[in-house]
Amino acid sequence: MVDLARYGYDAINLFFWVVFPYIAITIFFIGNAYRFFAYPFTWTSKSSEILEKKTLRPASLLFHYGIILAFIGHIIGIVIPKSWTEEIGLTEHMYRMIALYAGTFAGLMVIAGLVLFIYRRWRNPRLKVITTKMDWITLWLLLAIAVLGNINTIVLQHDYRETVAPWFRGLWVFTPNYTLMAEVPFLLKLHIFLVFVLTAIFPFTRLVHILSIPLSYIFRRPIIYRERCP
Amino acid sequence: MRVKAQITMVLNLDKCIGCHTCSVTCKNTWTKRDGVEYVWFNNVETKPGVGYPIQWENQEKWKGGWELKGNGKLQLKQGGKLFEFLNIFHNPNLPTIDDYYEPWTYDYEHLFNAPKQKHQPVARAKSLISGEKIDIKWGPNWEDDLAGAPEHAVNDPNIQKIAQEVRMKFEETFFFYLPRLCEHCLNPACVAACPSGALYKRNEDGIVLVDQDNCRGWRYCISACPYKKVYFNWATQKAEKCTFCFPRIEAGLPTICSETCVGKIRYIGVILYDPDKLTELLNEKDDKKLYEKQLEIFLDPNDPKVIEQAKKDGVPDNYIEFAQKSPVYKLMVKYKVALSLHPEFRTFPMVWYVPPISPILQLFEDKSYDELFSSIDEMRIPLEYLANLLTGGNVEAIKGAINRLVAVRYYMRAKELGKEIDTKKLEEVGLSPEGAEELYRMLAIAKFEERFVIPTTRKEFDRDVYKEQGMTGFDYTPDCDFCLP
Repeated sequence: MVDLARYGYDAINLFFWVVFPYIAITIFFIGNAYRFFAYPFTWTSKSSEILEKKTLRPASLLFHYGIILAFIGHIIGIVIPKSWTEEIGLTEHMYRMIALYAGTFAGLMVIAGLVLFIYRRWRNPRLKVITTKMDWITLWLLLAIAVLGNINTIVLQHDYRETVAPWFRGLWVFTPNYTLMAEVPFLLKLHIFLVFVLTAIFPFTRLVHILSIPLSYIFRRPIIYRERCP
Repeated sequence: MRVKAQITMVLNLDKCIGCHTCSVTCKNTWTKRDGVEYVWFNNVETKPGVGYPIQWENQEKWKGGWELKGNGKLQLKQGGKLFEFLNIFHNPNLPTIDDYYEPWTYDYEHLFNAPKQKHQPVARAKSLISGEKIDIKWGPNWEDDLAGAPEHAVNDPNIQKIAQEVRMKFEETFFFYLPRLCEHCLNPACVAACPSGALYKRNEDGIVLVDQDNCRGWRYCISACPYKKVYFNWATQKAEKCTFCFPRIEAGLPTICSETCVGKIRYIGVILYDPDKLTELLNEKDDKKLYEKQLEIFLDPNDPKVIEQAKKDGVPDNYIEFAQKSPVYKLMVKYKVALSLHPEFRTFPMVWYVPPISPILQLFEDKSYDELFSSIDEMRIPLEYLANLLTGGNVEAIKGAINRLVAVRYYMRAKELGKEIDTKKLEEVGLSPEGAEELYRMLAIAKFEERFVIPTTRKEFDRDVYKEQGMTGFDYTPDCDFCLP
C-alpha cells in the first residue's frame, strides 16, 4: 500500500473540499441548464400566496430580505480578498464588528423566516397538499445552514478570511488549496458542506427561481406583442 | 396612423337569462383540472352583487388597472417597477383563494361505504384543495338571482357610488346578469405587470395569453388585472387566463362560451384600431369622458385610406374583409349601443356590453313616444348604476344607448302593428329606418354566421410546403432544416 499521506495527500479533505464541491457545481450548472431547456414549464417560484398569505407576509419578507443581506455579507467576507477591503480602510476590527452585528441580524432574519415557513407548511392543511418532499428537504437544509451560519458568526468567530475565503476563491480558478480547510472548525465545515449539498440539489428544487430574477423588466416596454406561434 | 386588428366580443345583456351555460362549457373545456378548480375563465354574476372574486370592482381594495398620475402619465395602480421588485416576495394586493371560494366536492363514497346505522348517511362537502370536510360558506355564484342581496348587494361598488339610496326592498329590487370573461384589453395591465414578460398580446388578433413556459409565478398579473380575470393555478404555480379559445378562433369558430350561449347574446368579430392613439386617449383625465374617447380609436373598415394602411401594416385581406362585415363594429361604433365594462380602469377592455333595458315591456302599451322616453329615467335599473358599470359614470352615454334600443323596439312594434311611424323620433336618437331594421335584425334574429364573423388564421406559411411535398404519411421532421437531404 502506498501511504498517500506521506506525499501530502489528505484523502478526506481532498474529497470534501475539492472533489465534492466540483461535483456539486457541475450538477448545479448541467442540472439547471437541462431543467431550464427541457422542462421550462416546471420553472417557477412555486408561490403559495394564493392559499395562505397572512403568515407568509412576515415569513417571506424576513427570509428573503435576510438572505439577500446574508448573500451580500458572504460576498464581502468570502469573495472579496482581505487585502482589498483593507485597502479601502476597513480594518480587521471594523470588519469583525460589521460581520458580527450585521451578520447576526441577517442570520436571525433568515432563521425567523424559515421557522415561520416550516410552521405554516406544517400547520396549514392546504399547504400540506402542495408541499413536496423536496420542499421539506430544501427548507430543513436551509434552516440547518442558517443555524450553523449563526453559530459560526456569534460563537466560533473563526477567521475564515484566512482559510475558507482563499480556498473558495481557488475553487473558481481551479486551484483549490484544500489544506487551508484542515484547521477550520467542524461546525463551519459542516456549514460549507451543507451549502454544497444544497448546490447539488438546487436544480431539483424550487430554488431555481433565484436564477430568474426578472432584471429585464427594468428596461422592458410595458405592453408586449408577439406573433402567433405556428 | 397604424392599423391593427382585434378580435372583439359584444354581449347583449338584455337577452342574458343567467343560465350559466357559458360558464359550464368553458369550465369543461378549460379549467377542469387540478389547481384551477376554483377558476372560472367565464362566470355569470347577478348584478347588483359583490361578484367573483368578492368586490373585484373595488380598486381601492385590489389596486387593479391603471391610474393617471399627477404628471399625466399612466401607471399601474398597484405601483411601478420599483414597487414590484420590493414586493415580489409577498404581493400585498394578491387575493387569496377565500376571496374567490374554496372549491369543493361531496364525499359520495360515504353513501356506499357507511356502516349500518340508525340515520341515513349523508355526503358531506369536502375541499378540493385540502380534502378536509368543510362548511360551505361562499361559492362562485353565491348571489345568484340576488340570493342574500340585502346583506351582500349593498357592498357592490357600483351601488356604493350611486348618490341616491338604493334599497334592497323586494318591491324596489332590480337585477340583471353580467357574464364576464377576460377583456383582452388593448392596454392590458396584466401584460405590463408581468416581471418575466410571460404575458403577451398576439399581434394578429389581440388575444392576450400567458406563455406557460416563461411564467415564473411572480403573481403581479393577477393583482394588476382590474377584472380579476387572470388566475393562479395553485398546483402548477403559474398564471392562467381565458384564451379566447384561440384554437377555435384560428379555425374561424366562435369561443365555446359564445357557441353554447342559450340566449344567443354574444357577437364576435374583427375591429380595426389605431394603436398610436392609445396613449393619448387613455390620458384623458375625466373618467366620464373615457367611454367616448375610446370610440375615437376604432377605424372605419370601409375607408379606402384605412384599407390601404391596413395592408401596409400586414393585416391579412380576410381580416379586412371580415372587419367590414363585423357585427361588433356595428354595435360598438356604428350604432353605439354596446358599451365598455369599466372604462375607468383604463385598460381599454375589448369585451363590450349592450345594456339591459329592464322589464320595460309594459311601458310600451298605449304610450306615446315622448312618454316612453321620459319613463326611461325611471327605469327599474337605475341609469346611474348602469353608468357606473359600463361608461365610467357617464349617464348620457347609457341613456343614448338605451334610447336607441327602445326606439328600435318602438319602431318595429309600430311597423308590425301597422301603426303610424314617426321616423323623426328615430332620427333624434341617431337612427335611420334602415339602421333601426338592421339593429333589430342583429339584436333579435341574427343567425350564427351573422353573430360570429371570424376570419380564419392563415397557416399556409407556418411550414415550408415545398419541403413537405411527397412526404404524405411519412412525416419525419418537416420543421428541421438540417436533417433532410
